[in-house]
Amino acid sequence: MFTNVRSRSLALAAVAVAVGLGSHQALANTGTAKAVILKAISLTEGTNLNFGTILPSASAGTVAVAAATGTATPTNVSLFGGAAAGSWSATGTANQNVTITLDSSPITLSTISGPAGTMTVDGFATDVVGQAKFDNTGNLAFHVGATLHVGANQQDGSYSGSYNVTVNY
Amino acid sequence: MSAKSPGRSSAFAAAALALVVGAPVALATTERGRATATIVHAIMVTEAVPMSFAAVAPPSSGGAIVLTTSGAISGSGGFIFRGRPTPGAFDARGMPNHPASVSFSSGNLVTGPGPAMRLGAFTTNNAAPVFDSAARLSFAVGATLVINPNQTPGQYTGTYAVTVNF
Repeated sequence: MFTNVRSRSLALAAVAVAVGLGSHQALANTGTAKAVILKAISLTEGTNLNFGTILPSASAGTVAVAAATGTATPTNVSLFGGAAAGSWSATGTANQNVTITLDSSPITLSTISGPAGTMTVDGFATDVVGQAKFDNTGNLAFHVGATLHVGANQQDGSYSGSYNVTVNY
Repeated sequence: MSAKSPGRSSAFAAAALALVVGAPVALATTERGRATATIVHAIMVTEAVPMSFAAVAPPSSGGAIVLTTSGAISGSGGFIFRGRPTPGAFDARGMPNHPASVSFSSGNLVTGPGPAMRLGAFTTNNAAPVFDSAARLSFAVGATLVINPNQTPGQYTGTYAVTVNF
């Protein structure tokens, strides 16, 4: 693609020169041009985002997992540990700024087996401080946290769901 | 410098601009990550050690014998105790650092070759039980067994229910 665009541009330049300057044949070649060739981004999930083992109560509650620390904060429920932030690693073009986009609307976790149950997860956030950017070796590591909403007397079982992470230049 | 040069230069710039503008769509990457959670039942209570009064030789009049949560056994005059009595022991899991209450079933009977004996007046070694920071609570259980007059010798067994609440 780069080659094609460049050829077309050269042709345009040649035409402009021909129209504007008529008889001149030789072209001085001192202009500068910049192009950034971006490497396709590769994105890999390390650790699952895990809200741990939870004992629900008679009222609805939440478990908020902090992206930076993986610390889970329960409200109206009891936690037995096991919570972790999602971990991600991306590779791309060194020193390039990127935008990380997470789900803006809630996702659903469903029971893997046994009686049916669902919970929602929202408030997705990363632990990136300031501008997300590939380092000088083209790597970018970050974590994802979110908030799980546990219903009153939530059906017991193992729940799973998926969320989207997009990294873009 | 020739006037043609800037024209060529801007053409290159246009090419570079086209690349940058076109790049994001082709190079964005989206992956699906997994989110998980486990919901557990309410409090779990597990019997670690069954309660045992060991061997008892009662007087003909019968009477009540008391097993404490430390395993001591006693009765009114005439009782002879043999073997090693053990209090019941239980482990519970609940809510970290939360107070719990322990209660017992009533009307429990211990049955065997002779008339059933009543088991009751349960005690625990924890007057104000609280789940620890790992949501665990362990406690011992003592009780009183009422032996009937002229109780038939033999092995007697029974059950009682322990309820932990918070």
